Amino acid sequence: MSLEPRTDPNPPTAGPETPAKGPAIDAQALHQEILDLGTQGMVMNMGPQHPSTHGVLRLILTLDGEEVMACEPMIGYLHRGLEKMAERRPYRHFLPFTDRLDYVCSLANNLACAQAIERLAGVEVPERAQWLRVALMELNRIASHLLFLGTFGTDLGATTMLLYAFREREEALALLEAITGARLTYNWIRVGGLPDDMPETWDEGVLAFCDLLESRLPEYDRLLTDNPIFRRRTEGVGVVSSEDAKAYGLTGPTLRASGVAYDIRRWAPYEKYAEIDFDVVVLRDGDTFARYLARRLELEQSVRILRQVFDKLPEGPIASKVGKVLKPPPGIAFSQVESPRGELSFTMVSDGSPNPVRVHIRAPSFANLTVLADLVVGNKVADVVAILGSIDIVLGEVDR
Amino acid sequence: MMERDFGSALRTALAGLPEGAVESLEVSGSVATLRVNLGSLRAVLESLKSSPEAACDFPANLTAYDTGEEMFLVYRLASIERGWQALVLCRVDRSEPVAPSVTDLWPGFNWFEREVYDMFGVRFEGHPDLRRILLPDDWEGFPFRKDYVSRPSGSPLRGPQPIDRGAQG
Repeated sequence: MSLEPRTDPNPPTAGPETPAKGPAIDAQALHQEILDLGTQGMVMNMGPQHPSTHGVLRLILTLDGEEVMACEPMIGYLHRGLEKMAERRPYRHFLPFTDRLDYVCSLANNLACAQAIERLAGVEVPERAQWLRVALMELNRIASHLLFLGTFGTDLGATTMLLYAFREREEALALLEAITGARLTYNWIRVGGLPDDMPETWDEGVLAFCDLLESRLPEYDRLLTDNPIFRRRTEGVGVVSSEDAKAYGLTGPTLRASGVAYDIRRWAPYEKYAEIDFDVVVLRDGDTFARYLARRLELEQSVRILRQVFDKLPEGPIASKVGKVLKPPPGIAFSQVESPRGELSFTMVSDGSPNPVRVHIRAPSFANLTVLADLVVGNKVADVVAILGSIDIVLGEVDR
Repeated sequence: MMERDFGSALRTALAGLPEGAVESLEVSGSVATLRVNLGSLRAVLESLKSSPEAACDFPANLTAYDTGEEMFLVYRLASIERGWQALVLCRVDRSEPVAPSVTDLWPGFNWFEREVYDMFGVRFEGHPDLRRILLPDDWEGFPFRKDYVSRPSGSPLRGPQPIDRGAQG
């Protein structure tokens, strides 16, 4: 198996020969064999207090030695009833709550919520606000993907990666703090635009950060992408075929790593994404390594998008006038936003009153997690950590 | 352009269904809204998925809403290749909500159906494992139904409890 450092910027397609793992083991036959022998598998609870479940996820694993025979994810430990809270207050009052969904990328939640209200009430957003929203989305996406790189490396024992990723993430958070005043729960998207314009010279800071990040990407590649241990732990592990990926409703990098080109930014462009030149990262292998690489390559695309935003950013107002009391006409509307984890969609139903009848949040992590149980069967316990890490869930939005 | 193509694709896909299966069909841009009769719900979803014209084979979303008088299931199926999506609304009986499960067509809807059961009490017939998913297994009532009224229990471990109307007279 050759593990030369790769200089080819294109994603690997075939990859070095790795013996295929996973589906070769028939879990049911194995289970039957164990039953025939009169022994039984060991049931192990992984979580809800386990550092590599990235939150309060509990996996009930049935093990045969090191191998997983069955897996049942238990969720709901972080359920706060956010959707119910939304029904009990006027539309706009729900925006700060959305920060607490996917708390690694709060701005995507703010945007998805604001967009659903805007579509329901027919509110227009000024050009400048749309461009700035794109910049905020991409900056937050970079911060989120950097967190993924760091924690995923840590999951697999490459703890150094966390320090490198957080070094750059700190810069991204400082830029977001400069505009929103917060480092994690930004609450910076309003119905009809943004609460305030960007500070002066903020664009220069963002462009400088783009250069910095780009110069640091080769370091990440040396640490992870070209790391023989990392690749042996991830290549060929937890393969999802493109048919399965679609049937399970996976979205985001998890889906695109399996060869399906579905990126809301391109598929159903919102804000100004239709006017921006960027590539949708699609890989073919569908394994843990491909899911990692998809996010690593998306960093480059986000940098590309950020640079274009400040080339095209027009002058003008940053919010349109919206009445104090918002009473959207009766109907149903949904928004679609490409969050770092996939398709984030708010469905809102109005009956003409100031409070929504129903707000449903289609969280990408919730849908992506459904595939986990089938994916880990037949793999080793240590691979469960790798596969779960590569799906990149945030329990705040799984449980809502 | 897309509106016309999608409209005709949908009509071809749904041509074989009995009359009255689709109560209304509106296409606006790349989104079609269908109101479907509960009896034909599964047949409609199956046709949308398998028809080569409509090709709505991606399970984008499934939820429900309750207005207090009526309860609806809301399915959203997308066609990644064609770039369009169908919003399928279906009224279910509020007093005893039952709907056919589509987990065999889309395993991705497994958890979504469990969530709708958890919050609205809709029983999906044919679901392999219909249990609560977000709320504790011993939770009483279905919180997203508009007739669900809760009061604080005083215990952070138990959370709000539904009011037993019989006991209060």
